[in-house]
Amino acid sequence: MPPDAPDRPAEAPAEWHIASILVHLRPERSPDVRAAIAALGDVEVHTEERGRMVVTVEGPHEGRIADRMTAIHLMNGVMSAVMVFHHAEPVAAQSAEEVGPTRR
Amino acid sequence: MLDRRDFIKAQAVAAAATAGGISLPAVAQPSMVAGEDAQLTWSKAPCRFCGTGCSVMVATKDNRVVATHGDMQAEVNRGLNCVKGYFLSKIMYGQDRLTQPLLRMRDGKYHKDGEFRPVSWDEAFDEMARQWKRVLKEKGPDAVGMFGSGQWTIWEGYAASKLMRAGFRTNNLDPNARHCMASAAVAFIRTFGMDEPMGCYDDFEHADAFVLWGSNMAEMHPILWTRITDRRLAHNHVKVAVLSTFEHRSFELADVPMIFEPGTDLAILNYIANHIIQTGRVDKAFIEKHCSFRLGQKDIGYGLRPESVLEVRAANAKDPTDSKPMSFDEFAAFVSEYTLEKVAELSKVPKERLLALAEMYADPKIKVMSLWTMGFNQHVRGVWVNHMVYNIHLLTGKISEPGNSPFSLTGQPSACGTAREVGTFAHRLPADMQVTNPTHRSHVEEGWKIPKGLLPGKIGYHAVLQDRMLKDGKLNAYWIMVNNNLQAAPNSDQETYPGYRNPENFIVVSDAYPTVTAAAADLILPAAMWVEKEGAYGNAERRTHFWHQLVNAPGEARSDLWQLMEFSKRFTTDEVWPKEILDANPDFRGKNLFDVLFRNGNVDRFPVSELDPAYENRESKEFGFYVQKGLFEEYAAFGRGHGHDLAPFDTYHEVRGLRWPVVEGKETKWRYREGLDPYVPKGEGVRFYGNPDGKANLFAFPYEPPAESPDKDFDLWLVTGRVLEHWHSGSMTMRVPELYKAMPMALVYMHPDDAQARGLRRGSEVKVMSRRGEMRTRVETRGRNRPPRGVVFVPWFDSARLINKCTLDATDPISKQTDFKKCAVKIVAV
Amino acid sequence: MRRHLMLALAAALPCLVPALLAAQGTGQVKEPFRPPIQFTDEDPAPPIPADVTDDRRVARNYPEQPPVIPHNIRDYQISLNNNQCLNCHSRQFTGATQAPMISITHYVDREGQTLGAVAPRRYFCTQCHVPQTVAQPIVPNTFRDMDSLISRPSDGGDRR
Repeated sequence: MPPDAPDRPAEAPAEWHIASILVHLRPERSPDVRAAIAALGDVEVHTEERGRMVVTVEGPHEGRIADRMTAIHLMNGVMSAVMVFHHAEPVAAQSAEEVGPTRR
Repeated sequence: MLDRRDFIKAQAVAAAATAGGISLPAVAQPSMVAGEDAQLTWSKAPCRFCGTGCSVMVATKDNRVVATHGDMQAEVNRGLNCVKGYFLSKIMYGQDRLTQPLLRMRDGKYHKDGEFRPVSWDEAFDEMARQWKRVLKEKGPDAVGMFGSGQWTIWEGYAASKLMRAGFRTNNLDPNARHCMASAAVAFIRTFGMDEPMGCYDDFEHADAFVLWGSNMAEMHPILWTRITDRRLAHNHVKVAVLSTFEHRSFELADVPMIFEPGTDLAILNYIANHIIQTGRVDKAFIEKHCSFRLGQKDIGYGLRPESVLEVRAANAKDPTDSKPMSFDEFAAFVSEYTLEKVAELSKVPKERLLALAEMYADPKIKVMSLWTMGFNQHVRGVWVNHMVYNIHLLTGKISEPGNSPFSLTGQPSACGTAREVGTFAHRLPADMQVTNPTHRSHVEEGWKIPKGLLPGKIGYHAVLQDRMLKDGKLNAYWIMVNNNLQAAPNSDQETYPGYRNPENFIVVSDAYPTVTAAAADLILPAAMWVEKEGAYGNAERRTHFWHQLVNAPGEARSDLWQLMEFSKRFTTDEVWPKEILDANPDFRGKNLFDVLFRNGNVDRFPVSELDPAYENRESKEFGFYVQKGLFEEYAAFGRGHGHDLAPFDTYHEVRGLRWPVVEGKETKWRYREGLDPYVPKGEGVRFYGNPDGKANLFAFPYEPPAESPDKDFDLWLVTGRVLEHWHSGSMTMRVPELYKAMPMALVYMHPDDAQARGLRRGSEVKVMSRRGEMRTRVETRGRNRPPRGVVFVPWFDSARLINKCTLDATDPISKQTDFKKCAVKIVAV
Repeated sequence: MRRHLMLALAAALPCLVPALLAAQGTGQVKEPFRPPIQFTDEDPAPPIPADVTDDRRVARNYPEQPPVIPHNIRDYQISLNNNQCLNCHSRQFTGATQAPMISITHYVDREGQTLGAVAPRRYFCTQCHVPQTVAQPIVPNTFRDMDSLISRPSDGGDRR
């Protein structure tokens, strides 16, 4: 598509992105990792088992998700952080429901 | 009302937890307010389509499939799917799913020319059994037959084999895999004494060169293509060569692209062998120790009807399999006439490209993987061309080690698992055993606990022969399961359809959808599909992969397994077995076939209490024992200890498949090499243990022309094949709106100059005509397939445009597999 | 309990019943049954359907589904040297083109490592993403997404 496609609005609509990340970590470092993740913002830890942790990241664009994933990947005690799921949709597509704390 | 955002978040969490193999927290997180409503059940299953064998995660809710995605834990695909795989969720939900048996009736009873009316299963099986008994009484076992598929689950194919061979005492059982990879299977046995590849998909990450022989993996094996793409783009030294009779998507990655004249791959392969020998790059120690050389029979005909002029004229049409020993020097002399100059002229491939290709094999530093499917197998010299590729790997010793791998790909999800390993071919028994071998038959009789001498030793009718026999009125009671042969078979207007509508014949089709095959049947049985039943498939790399029943089939649709077992109840041994057998084995007198075949102490060995309580299993609950487990364990016993070892049944429900032989819990990635394959004795290095002498056979064959070539009346080559968006005849994928809209009709792809020469342009309506039939479509000159002048390509997925009315029913005379890639047509404006 | 209420609601307000449920009828096959396409049919070939080029994003059936392409890609070059899709959809160009950026799952390689660029195994976009034509499917599909199953009564999988 050419950059100047006339039928595109000047500004992209605000979007909501969510991704889940599978984190492999050293189980003994779990408390430190959890604390570091909690400090990031826009991130939620859901479950952890045998050195594997499920984290979700939400944000207005892909960049937020990439940033958080990289940050987690670089934390001490983390061996890898792999994205499993990524979903994006225009905010307008969501019904007028309660806005959660991590929504912008 | 549920918060959509929380619902999606729950999805995200579930996906990651599943990928990591972690259980979801029992108590929902505060954010997951959706609670019970948003809970999906995720389970693994292999993809329903091609022979790659990707694993998918399937989400169900309220007895419906609601989502699927690539399985992160599966080694085959590591989270990826192709576009068809991503739309698996919708394949079971075409609105015209068959939910009741339908019988052609007039005035309240069966009539060949009646209209389809719904009947109960009892009425359906009553009529079917009446017809089977009539035919068996009038003509005997040779007049009943079954056409199955590499889409049968392992236990369905196994149950069909038992019912046909031991029940009805006929080997008239063949899978549509005959159309797909019979040439590969036959060449494996003749070369190595054992079927299926020695290597595995791990070769993709080890090879330095990939050669696609007539295969368009970009569209037909997309996930394996991602592994080649990954290797090629991440490693500069890696090269990809693509050979085809027309340009297609796989050329996008080709370093060495080659368009050759149809059929000249035989000459190109002999040239490569010659090049290896002439440049002194034969691995002499390897061939000395591990190889035998044989001179094959030439001028073997084209598998047409025996009265055809081409068969009468061929010197060795009656004895195509013959061969005699030769020395390496004789072999070298045989291929020496295939010089670069001569082969470049014959194939029309530029010399420098042929040389570059030959060097990929000749250079000892390059690890090379050869890949092929229908281009080789659907070939009037399909067995030869398979042999020839083994020749060049064996001459250089580039085999049975990581990255050096001649690799035969498959087109159906269980072409290997069901058609080949279970042995649903007209000539085969389980675990590579053959029906013509009395020792093999006796071994199977013991395993099945049936009387000695019961199994017939005559090879049954193969796919194309079944159609001919139906037309000729010699095969009269015929059951087609899980395939769409009227759309798939060659020369269908002349050789297939007449047999289905022959008034002497009773044709039964079991399918999930009303295909053109079902529409031409006399009785349609509604089938459960994919995750509507517990199943097992075996993919192209020897990987056996299980799944559970995840949802119920709609209405009265039932699995092929249930249909086969239930139908067996309609017969007693007195009705189907000869008097001599019963006199010699009085205990078997008056027994119900179901009891003899399926309640034999093996198949009914495992109680329903062993079922996983988390999953439904309709057949087992109905029959009162764990049928899939009993059938699998009886079957697996034939291969254990003989190089075909399968793991215990329950193991497969835990893992993403295992590659056989599975010995002491460990799968085998590369066969025939010491240290990698437990069957190779210490100190031997390499042993091709399928053959008694431990050696592989190289065969010398010449180039011979195709059965039909273009001439002044029919001036174009017709090549048929598939497209990315549709799988085979499209009965599933054409019912997924996104896939339908992406590729709604089968067009004729042709060169713009060929179009212009006929006064045509893109979009013109035309008839594609051969000596046998015609089909109407539109011209495409700018599509993804770009044939050279003189060649047209038409895919066969479109039931509204049946290109197989035009194709020729010539087969490889050895494998009996049809050549769908080479016949002559003309294109005429409508 | 809630499900029962919904069923009652659906019965009282027929307009709310999803069209696809109604389209499935009572489940009894129409007599006599006539398959949609017969071997002997010889219909004219319809014109090649046009591509959908309205650039409107199409909702997915489930989050894991690759989005379809709402524009023409004829003659787009994807080769060893060039990938025309990425000219608009890769991260660095989406600002200028306003095209949706490819999902960042596409930066993860086979070993699960996140790369600085699109993973090579994801290079050939059209293996998963396909354009659409205006052709209308011969057979409708009764797949229901998870949202509709949550918010509306289920048929329990029995599609009769």
